[in-house]
Amino acid sequence: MAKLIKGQAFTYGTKNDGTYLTFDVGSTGVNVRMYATEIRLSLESDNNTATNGNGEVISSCFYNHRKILNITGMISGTTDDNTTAHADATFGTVIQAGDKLDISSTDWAEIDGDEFIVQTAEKVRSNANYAEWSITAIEYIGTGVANENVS
Amino acid sequence: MSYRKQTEAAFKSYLAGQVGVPVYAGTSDTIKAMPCVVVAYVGSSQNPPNTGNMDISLSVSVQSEIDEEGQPNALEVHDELLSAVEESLFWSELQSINTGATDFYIFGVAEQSGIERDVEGTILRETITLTFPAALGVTTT
Repeated sequence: MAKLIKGQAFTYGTKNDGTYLTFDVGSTGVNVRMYATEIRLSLESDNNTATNGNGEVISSCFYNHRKILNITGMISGTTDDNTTAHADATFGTVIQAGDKLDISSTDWAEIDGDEFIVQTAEKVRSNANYAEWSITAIEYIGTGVANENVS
Repeated sequence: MSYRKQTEAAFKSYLAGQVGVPVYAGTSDTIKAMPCVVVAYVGSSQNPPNTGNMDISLSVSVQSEIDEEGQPNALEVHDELLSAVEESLFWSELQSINTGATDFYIFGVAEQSGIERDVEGTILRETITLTFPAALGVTTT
């Protein structure tokens, strides 16, 4: 019988161990378990161009390569401590711009095990919704720049 | 135990402690004594996806028999019961359900609607509908 194809394969959802991320953040490295509603990874750099006498670009130089990570989601309890008290306490973790963010995501190798630096962090509570964190963090990945040099 | 069973059991237990009349959960195979309160799981949807947490819709009905030959002042008794049930469902009171039913946790009330009134013969029924996010197996501490 001929194979019937009525659909297409896509990569789907946040896809990290059932949509949960874990990371350490804050001055004391608090371990956080987050239900991520969105994970956005941007790859950026700065660049300079050289032009000829006609104004045409004849050379482009890229440097300061970096990853920008945006994560948004709810802070959850853990499998060992699935209580609202634990989730509330974790939500109260003090985060400052410049803090380290060590992330684990077994399904996304580009961010798994990476050490980012928090640029901005936002905590949101609104009526009739679960409270959320939204963090933007950066990691420089240029040649000669090791993680420990940007912490 | 299903969300339906657990939700109805938690509200039955909670409301029984708030009002002095029988409280029935969902479909009951016993004849109801009037006046009474009936809690029924209307439905639910998972939110957020892949968490097991549910947004639950639940109806709470106050039912009384209003009959000239029945209990005197039945309508007055009904109104007092309805008022007590209504107050019990406001979040300031309802949040105590989380300490009584440890396997069932309500995060808050997202929507409360009603009171809808309908009459069937001599039975007067007034219904309040709640919508709330909830989780099983979650405790406060």
